[in-house]
Amino acid sequence: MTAWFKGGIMALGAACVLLLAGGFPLLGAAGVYRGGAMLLLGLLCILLCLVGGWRLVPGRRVQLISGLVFLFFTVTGLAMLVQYGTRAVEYACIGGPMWAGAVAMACTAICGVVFMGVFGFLCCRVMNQRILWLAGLHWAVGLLGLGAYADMLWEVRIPVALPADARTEITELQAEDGSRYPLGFRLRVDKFEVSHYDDATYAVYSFEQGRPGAMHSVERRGDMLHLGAESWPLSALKKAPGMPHPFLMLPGNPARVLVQNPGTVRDYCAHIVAFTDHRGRPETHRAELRVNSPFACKEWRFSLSSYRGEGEQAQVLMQARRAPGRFAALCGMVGIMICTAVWCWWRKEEPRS
Amino acid sequence: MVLVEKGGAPVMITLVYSLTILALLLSLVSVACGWGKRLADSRRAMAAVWVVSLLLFVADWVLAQAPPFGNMRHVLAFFPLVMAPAAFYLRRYHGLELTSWLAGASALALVGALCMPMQAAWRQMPALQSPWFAPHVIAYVVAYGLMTVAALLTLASFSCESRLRAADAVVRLAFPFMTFGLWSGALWADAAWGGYWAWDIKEVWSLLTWCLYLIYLHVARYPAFASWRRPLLLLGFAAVVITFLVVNLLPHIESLHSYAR
Repeated sequence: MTAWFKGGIMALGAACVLLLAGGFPLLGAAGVYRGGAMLLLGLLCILLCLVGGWRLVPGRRVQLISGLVFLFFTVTGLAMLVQYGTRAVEYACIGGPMWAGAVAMACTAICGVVFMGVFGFLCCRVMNQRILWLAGLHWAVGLLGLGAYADMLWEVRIPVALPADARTEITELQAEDGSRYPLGFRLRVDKFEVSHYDDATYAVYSFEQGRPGAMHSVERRGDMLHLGAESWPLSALKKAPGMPHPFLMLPGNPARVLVQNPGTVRDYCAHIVAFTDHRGRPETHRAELRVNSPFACKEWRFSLSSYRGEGEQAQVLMQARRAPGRFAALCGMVGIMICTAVWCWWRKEEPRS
Repeated sequence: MVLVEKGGAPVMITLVYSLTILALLLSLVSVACGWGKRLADSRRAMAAVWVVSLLLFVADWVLAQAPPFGNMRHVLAFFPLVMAPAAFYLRRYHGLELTSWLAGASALALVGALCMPMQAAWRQMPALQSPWFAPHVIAYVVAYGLMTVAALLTLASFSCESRLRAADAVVRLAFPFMTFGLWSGALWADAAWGGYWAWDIKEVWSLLTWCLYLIYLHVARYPAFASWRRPLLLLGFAAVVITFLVVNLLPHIESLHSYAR
């Protein structure tokens, strides 16, 4: 192990701490490190990480890689704690009581030290390549369980129906039990679009004395529609206000109308706008909400579930969700996938006696 | 998912049926050669199965006008495509000659594919239009295919102990794929349905299957639990069958995964 390589790892650890703790200029470094005490705490964490990194990478390649993984987790965990601590100080500086900031800072420092101590101890204990990844798998399962448990206790899921009229805005959500949850921002749907596969069907509906009568399916051949001896060009069907689908009024008695029934839905998309404010300054976030692309704003995530109607009369059905354990659970899932793959594929274990 | 029944592409449907039957026959040839100790011929037949399966996959894609993982027939027809590389891997890196076993598993899947109704094209519903779709399904196909082989080896191990070690190697190869399939599904659900877990019947059985194999892998490390290995492997495979076939095909089961029928 060359000195420059160890130095590189140390620099990487320091960069991780600074980046994840909010030291990156774009995230407002000046605001985050307003308090000298927090800067001191950050430096202390960096120092601890680097010492840990130094101790965990003594020589062998397997141990080096494993050590780096643990180092990354340690650094990330510490960075999160520092970040929450700095927010508490920021809150104290903006207008909250100073003692709240001090308590939060102290808690952060204690948590950081404990976290580092426990993690360092476990790293030393499990730095045996035979069971290292199995231990990682157990940690990941624990993390997933923790996240899932937190979600079980505190998750909020509320169905939301919002008209796509670009006027109706919501600022709070009402759960089925009547409890209300303020969003902390305003949300509206500007537009809603539905696209279909090219498998539309056609039918002729007849009306006798104003009542709907028989329905006949119409066959499409190229650009022409055929029903018995009658035929019409596809282009003759027109849209009209108030009519959801293209149609053609047919002459004769009884009254008949040829209607295009839409094809299978390919995709739908809601153009949404969220109005927030960041430190008193208004901000506008525009996004396309799709089935596989949820929209996140502050602590809420909106998933597109379905819709009713089309065009301006469309009602967009969403699910708003606030899940405090989601991040931990997802990290656990990723950890499980990585650790399982390495554990099973890396090398064959010797059976235990 | 909306299925478009056959009638629009009779030539392609005939081609798909022909390729499926050809792949099945070649799989059976591979199995027969393996049992007759003509291992080189067995491997050649398996290579031919892989080529035919690739053609079948392309034909299915053309017919479906989308990645062909839309129904049970698509998935079952995809099995042989992953079995041949698995046979190569196990021979190359574990010294296990399991070509005929994997060919047998392919033959089972192809028989299943022939029993499923032919659906000419399918329309991908919005939830399925995700980058997770293909990796999720492929991971599960690989995992279930290999677990089938592991189950066959476990049954055969009652007469030959060394086959249990081969089954262990196959499970170790397959389990990360199963893990990826399960948890990538949860990550996908988090984006599509607004929640990573819904206690859907398919999800519950998938988790149960995963847990059984996880217990097996823990138990397999200890010689004291050697007698648990066969029951756990067979129990795990029974859970695979329930997850993959029973939950999907049993009528009157309400599931978020009902489009996979």
